Amino acid sequence: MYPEMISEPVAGRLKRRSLLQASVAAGAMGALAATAPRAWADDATVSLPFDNGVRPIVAAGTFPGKGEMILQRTRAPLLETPWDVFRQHLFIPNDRAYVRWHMADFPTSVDPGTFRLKISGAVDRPYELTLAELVNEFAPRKLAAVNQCSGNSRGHISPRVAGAQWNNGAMYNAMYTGVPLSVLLAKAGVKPSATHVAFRSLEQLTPPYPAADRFEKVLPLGRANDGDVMVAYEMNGDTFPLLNGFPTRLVVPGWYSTYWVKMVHEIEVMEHPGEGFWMKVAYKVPNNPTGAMTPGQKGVDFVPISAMVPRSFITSHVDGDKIQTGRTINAEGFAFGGNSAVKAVEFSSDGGATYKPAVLGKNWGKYGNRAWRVAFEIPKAGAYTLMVRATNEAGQTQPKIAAWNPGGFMYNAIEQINVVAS
Amino acid sequence: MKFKIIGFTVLLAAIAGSAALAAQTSQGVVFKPTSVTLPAPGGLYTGQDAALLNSHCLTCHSAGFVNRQPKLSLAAWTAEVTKMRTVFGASIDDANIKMVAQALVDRQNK
Ligand code: HEC
Repeated sequence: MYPEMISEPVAGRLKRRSLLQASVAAGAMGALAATAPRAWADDATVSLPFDNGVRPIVAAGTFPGKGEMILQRTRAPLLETPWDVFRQHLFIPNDRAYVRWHMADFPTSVDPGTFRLKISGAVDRPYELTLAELVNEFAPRKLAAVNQCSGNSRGHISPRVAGAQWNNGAMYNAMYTGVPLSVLLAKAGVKPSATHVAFRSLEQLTPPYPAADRFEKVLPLGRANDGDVMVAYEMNGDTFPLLNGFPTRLVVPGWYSTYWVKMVHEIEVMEHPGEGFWMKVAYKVPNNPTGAMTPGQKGVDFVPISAMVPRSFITSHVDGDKIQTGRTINAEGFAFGGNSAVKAVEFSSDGGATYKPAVLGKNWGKYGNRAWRVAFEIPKAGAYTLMVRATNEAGQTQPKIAAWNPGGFMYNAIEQINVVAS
Repeated sequence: MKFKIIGFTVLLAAIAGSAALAAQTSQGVVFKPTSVTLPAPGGLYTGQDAALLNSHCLTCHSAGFVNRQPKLSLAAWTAEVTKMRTVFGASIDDANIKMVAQALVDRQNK
């Protein structure tokens, strides 16, 4: 059972063990650098369950602020969370949260003393905030939410497409602390002509990249102002690791992570949709709720990706497990609803022929992970396929076969685990 | 697979007494000046047509990323390489687009 099912996940400020240790060490040396050149076994790898799926595993500390991770790309960093972490935590520890940068153009050094969050554009009173002002002058909001890469699980999409070849570990559930964007926008006074809000990070685009490639994401004003979207400065009770967006990250709960701009520092209210590459060209999906089309289909209407679809996972068992017949077995895991709450989770031990409802764990909020559990029994020896499927409040249920689109986005097929009973 | 990343350095704030010292807040949130050193890019392309790929496909991302792609058709690789030029500004002429795409297909089929 997840410890978080019973206790608060956010104790970071009290229990920053690694940071404390680092500063103790630094103090002892009378210096500030904790230098740790790590050697790790060259051949530490994991084999992800798809063709060409062998990946290096990098030791804790190889990437600053990160624990042991699956290496998808060194530059710009793409680090996947190993599956074991999901088996142990409903709220993923900050140093295990996946990392995804498009370009190696982000600062490797952030000075919180000079950092400013700017709010400008089609507003009556543009202004900027220091970090201290952001934290001190607005009531903090806490929100549990799953951050999931649009291309999470891309390695499972059939036919395969180019891009980061993730297994299921490009997602993480966390408890965020921040200020609702609606509050920040209200202070500025949004003009009636406004329709969209653009978000930019501290990334500094360098040649040969054309100017239009600057990382800018844009939300429709209605979404930006819904009270749930927020500028977060903590996750799981601690500030963000630099690679996850220190010091501020946009949280767009229910929508794919492409909108969760890291190191967000410019918020511009606009009177038109986004014109940049990352809105007009990249991250587009067929204009339907699951992003589905057939390979090669002509005349498809593509729109910017947005709402997530439901997913669920089994964590009590892994492929190849041996189980016993004729006794009660607990299956466990977690689910999230995507853009609406988890309504139901169902479990099958007969390859999807029949499903039975799972008991849901504590509700941390509609956008967060929800633990689930089912007791089942296998009457006779043989090979069995365990499956789990979630349905959200919007009525979307996971499909047997995931939708396909050329970006390999929005994968959410029912997970299957093969076990042998004897 | 031979794969090396060199060591790293994390400078954890603690520029004590300096003006750069963290935004302290009344809520107890402490933003420490954070400076990190990322691992080295992770090596060159090796093996078949390595020189060709090293001269065209290494400036913006690590070789490992391209090596980890699924098997793609010549048309799909041609589209990818062309995209690198038109969308991201890679400098590669038409003849080299053809050669690089073919090289990628050959590497995957060997
Ligand atoms: C000018 C910079 C640049 C060069 C040079 C470059 N790429 Fe890329 N490439 C990118 C960027 C930016 C991305 C998107 C990265 C991301 O999404 O994380 C990318 C992504 C990719 C992807 C993933 C699929 C996709 O389209 O996003 C593949 C495959 C790829 N590049 C192959 C190549 C090959 C092969 C070459 C050599 C011809 C090359 N790249 C040269 C910038 C470049």
